[in-house]
Amino acid sequence: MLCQNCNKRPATYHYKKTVNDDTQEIHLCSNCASELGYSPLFTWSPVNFGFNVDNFLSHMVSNDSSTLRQVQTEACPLCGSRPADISRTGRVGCAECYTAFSGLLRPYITRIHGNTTHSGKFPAGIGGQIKKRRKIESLRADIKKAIDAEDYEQAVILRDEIRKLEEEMKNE
Amino acid sequence: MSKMWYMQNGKEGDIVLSTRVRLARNLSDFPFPGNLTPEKQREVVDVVASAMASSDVGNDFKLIDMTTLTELERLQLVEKHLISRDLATGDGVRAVLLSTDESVSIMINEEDHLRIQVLGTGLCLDDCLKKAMRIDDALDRTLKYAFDEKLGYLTKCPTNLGTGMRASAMLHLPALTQGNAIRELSASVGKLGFVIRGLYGEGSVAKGALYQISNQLTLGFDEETIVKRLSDVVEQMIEHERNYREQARKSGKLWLEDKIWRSAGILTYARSISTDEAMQLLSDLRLGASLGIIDTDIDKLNSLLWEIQPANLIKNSGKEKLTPEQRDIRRAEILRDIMKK
Repeated sequence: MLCQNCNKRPATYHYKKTVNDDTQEIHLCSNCASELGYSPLFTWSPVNFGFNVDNFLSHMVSNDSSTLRQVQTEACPLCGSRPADISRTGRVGCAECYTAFSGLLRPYITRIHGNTTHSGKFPAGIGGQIKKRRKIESLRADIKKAIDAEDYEQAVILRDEIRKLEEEMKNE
Repeated sequence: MSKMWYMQNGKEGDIVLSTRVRLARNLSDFPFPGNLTPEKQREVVDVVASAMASSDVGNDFKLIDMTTLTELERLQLVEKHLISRDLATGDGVRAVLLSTDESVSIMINEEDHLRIQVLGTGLCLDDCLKKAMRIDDALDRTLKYAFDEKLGYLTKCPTNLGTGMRASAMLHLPALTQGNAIRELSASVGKLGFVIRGLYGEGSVAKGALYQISNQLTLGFDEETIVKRLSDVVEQMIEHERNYREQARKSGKLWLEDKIWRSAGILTYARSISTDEAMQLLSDLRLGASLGIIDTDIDKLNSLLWEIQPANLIKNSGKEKLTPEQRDIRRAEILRDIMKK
């Protein structure tokens, strides 16, 4: 059997992937397998059935092989990591990777943590700015509520508050 | 010498041995440690060490370069839970900033540039968190952390994103283990976002009935909320364990006493004993002490937990090396000495 990706070399890696009850068989040569982020580390053969966090994570990243194909030629501008490296290890190479490969990583992060935003501590240097920006967002929502309730006096007060915060942010 | 945290007994000490809060942090100006040359890794160590030295808590810390320690000395630190096995055995330039009382250890160039760990005796999650935050603040004044408004602190592994915080407690759960209740408990705390795993040993067998419970999610909840929820879960586990112990005492008092005294007998008279067996017997002793069946200091049992591990055993024997057989003999000697007192 030939590798279904390159159609040149013989397929030596065989995977079964089940997505939403749809089981798909994938046959790849070793080159394409590692290129596409499939590695012998997480074959589902009976010999290698042990649970291992790394394999589990890498499988979660590479599960989305359509995204992988789109971005696979790019490398992170800061550390040179490639999508295949990330999907093999389940780990990124540097902080910049989160921006460079946000398309690949976002669904993965959502799968781990749910669709959420950081709500804990901020570094002191940028914490003030972020807090103000979030305050402005919530004030904007309040203005909308005030207008809906036809409380225009309140809306004006809130608008002035936003202007004050924006002015402060500009001066920082 | 004043007693280190791992030689003491703390709050809920009959069940909770120790508590840990760990923060993962990275510097924005460097790729993560695994993608750095040794020269750059050295630079990271220097940057972090000088940030610590210039901070208001700097006097309390000493820098230990992993490459200057022998393998035995590194493993000694692992056995005391002061550093991770990855830091001890990994490649490249790695170091740890250790506080004088050994309750704070900052691993440099493990998976992330910094792993700030605060450890304490018994159940003390709030105190550990406060201390970790104080140290983080002190370093934050000089270091530039990698941070994203949505993703929080950026880490090598996406499972640590957000707070970068892993809070955990080390629990002794002999009655729940004996009653086959761990699996069920594990499933229910799993739904709340916490994980239970055996502290020693692989897979489902937890040596010495010792477990670690920690938060799984790091993104979307603030540090205080995570710690508060973990404290609640741990308190419930303590209650379950106490109930099981009480039931065991009611329904099988003689059997329980017999088991505990037999274990004490072996510890008092054995001439050779493996780590695994010693851990199991000490677990029985710990249970006996907490039920008032046998008179033993819990803090002594806490010390023994690392004293009988291979690296500490060899180091304290004053020898360079001991074969496994010699270690078993030495271990039995240590235990006999303690049991006589």
